[in-house]
Amino acid sequence: MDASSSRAGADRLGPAALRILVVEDEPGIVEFLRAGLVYEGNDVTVAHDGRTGLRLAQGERFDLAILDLMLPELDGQEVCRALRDGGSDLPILMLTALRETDDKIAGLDAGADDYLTKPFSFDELLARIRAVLRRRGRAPPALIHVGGLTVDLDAREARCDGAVIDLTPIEFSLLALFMRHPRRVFSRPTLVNRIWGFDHVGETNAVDVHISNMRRKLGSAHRHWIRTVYGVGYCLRTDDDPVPAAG
Amino acid sequence: MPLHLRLTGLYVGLATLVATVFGVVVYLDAQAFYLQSDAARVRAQARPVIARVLTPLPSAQDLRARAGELQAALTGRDTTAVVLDREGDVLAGEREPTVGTERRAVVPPGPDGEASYIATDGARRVLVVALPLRSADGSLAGSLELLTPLDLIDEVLRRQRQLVLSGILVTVVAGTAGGLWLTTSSLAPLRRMIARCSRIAAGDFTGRLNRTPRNDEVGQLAAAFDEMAERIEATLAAHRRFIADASHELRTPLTAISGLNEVLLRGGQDDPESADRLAHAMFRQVERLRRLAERLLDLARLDAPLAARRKELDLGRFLWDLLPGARAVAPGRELTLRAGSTVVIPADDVLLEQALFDLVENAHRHSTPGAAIELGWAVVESGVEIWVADEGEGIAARDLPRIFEPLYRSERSRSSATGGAGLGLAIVQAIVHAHGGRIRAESQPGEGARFVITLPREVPSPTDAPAPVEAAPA
Repeated sequence: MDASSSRAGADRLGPAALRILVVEDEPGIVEFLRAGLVYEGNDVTVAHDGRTGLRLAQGERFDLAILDLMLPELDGQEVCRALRDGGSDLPILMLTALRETDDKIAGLDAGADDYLTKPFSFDELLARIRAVLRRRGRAPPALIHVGGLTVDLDAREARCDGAVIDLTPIEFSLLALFMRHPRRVFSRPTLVNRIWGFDHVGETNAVDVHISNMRRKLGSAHRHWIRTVYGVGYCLRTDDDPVPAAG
Repeated sequence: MPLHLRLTGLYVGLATLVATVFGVVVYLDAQAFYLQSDAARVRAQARPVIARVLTPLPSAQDLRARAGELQAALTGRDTTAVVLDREGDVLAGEREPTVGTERRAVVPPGPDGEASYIATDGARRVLVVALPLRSADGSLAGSLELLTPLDLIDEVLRRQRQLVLSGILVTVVAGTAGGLWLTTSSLAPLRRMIARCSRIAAGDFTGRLNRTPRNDEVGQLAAAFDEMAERIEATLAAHRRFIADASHELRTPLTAISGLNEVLLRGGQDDPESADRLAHAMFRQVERLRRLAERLLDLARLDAPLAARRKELDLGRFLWDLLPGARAVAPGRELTLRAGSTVVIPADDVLLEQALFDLVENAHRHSTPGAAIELGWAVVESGVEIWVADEGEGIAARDLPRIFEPLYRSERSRSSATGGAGLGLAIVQAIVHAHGGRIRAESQPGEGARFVITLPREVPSPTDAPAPVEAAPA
């Protein structure tokens, strides 16, 4: 069987758990798609050729398929057309190394929802996935609740027990990141990368300052939810979910 | 000035010059002939009359007495005679007033005083034939002038002049029209070539010049031009395909590397196990990229002329020595050497070894463990054949013509999991071409593939080397 599944950790609490089928034959690309998508809290199934991909897509339920255009056995366009002919409405995101508009048009004509030209950034892939799902009315919710805390990703607004908290953009981004991945421990360098971007160069201590300001604004009922994991970084845990004894 | 106008001008000018010179020469010759024959006729008619009237003429004084008789005997319908004494005074007949004022010799005066000349009397011309009159003792008694109007001859000459002039005119008109038509139609392919050059310069290779082949120089030029355009087009197409393929080949590991890097940075690094996996995957992709860059460089180097440094190579010994290395390239395969007769060829051992290793590696990649790979050589008429044959999956018929193209991969071996960089066979071909040899692939799908290199036994002259237009990138 030329397919494999990867499941996000059993402790995943994120709201956006998607079952994603990746049909791609390049091992390097499979590796990062799998790692990145699983990290984001999704279930990822990989097929290495078009025929296997088509069989999986017809046999199981997926929320989204990421389909490479050039595949052995059956190319992406043929897989796409076969799925659509079979009445499937699976959202399909096509990957192509070709820049020619004709190929994109052909891909879309075959029934793909969107396409992405290699090389692409992972953030762009995530944005396209969200856009495809939104167009299909299956968008991940913009409102995330954890305990009494709520973030509205569209309005970029955070509430604590219904009351709006006045956060700076950086503090909001930090809180939204923690809320999207409760219980996940983020190291300081990762936080810097996620908030300021990968080309940011500077002291990671800045993170501590922003975290401490954010905690103060969360108020006494929630400030301790943003926990310091000594020697590693920070994570979000509610009162019902005590930190395991530090080892 | 356009070439066709210049050619026409030159052509018409020359034709006119020839027609004019010819016409003038013919006209002058005709005129001289008419006048001389007329003069001769007049003289011949006069001589017997003179002899009859004047013989014997005892002395010069007797001429005066017979002058009247002579003049009357010689004057006829178109000839008037005048008899003159020794001093030139008129003895009989009437000398017309203008005669003698303007004289042009037709025949230069002879030794006995005979002469012919043309005198002009107003609009008319008169031929004057002068004859000496001698007494019995031989002394000059006087002279006789016979005047014949040239009306008839002048009429004939006038018509000839008109004929010559109209001939020149026809030459100019017909020459111009014909010349323009000829040069325009002969140079039409040139003009099409100019238009085509401009289109080619703009990148448009469609259309051919020599749709109706002509066997003249312009036709040959058009054919040569078409051939050149076809080769440029083929070369450019090969280049474009190569660049498209290269960009695809580069883009895939780049996509993987940038994606892996991004996933690592955005959180993958927080879990040591995933960080390690991502870093290793990145390493493999960077290795792949490095290999690709090296092989592209190999290919570029082999395109340089005189890339092969040939020396005398004992082929059998060379292949025996090569076996252990080749077995290392194809682990788990039964590699055997089928020996041919002893032969020495001029070859670059380093390049030839690389080519054979590439072929063995290719055979290894497309066969299963335990399969046999045969390396062998044979002396043939066209040189030496060296082959690498495997028992692998073979090559599909539609892939066969293209497998030597750089970065071409058959559908089945596309994935880097089974395929190499896609440059191995292109490099092998470049090496073989650098030796002035040829390579071909033979295969029945499912029954293995056989790559046959044919190398010459002598160093070929530079012009013999086949031009790898279709396959090599430069």
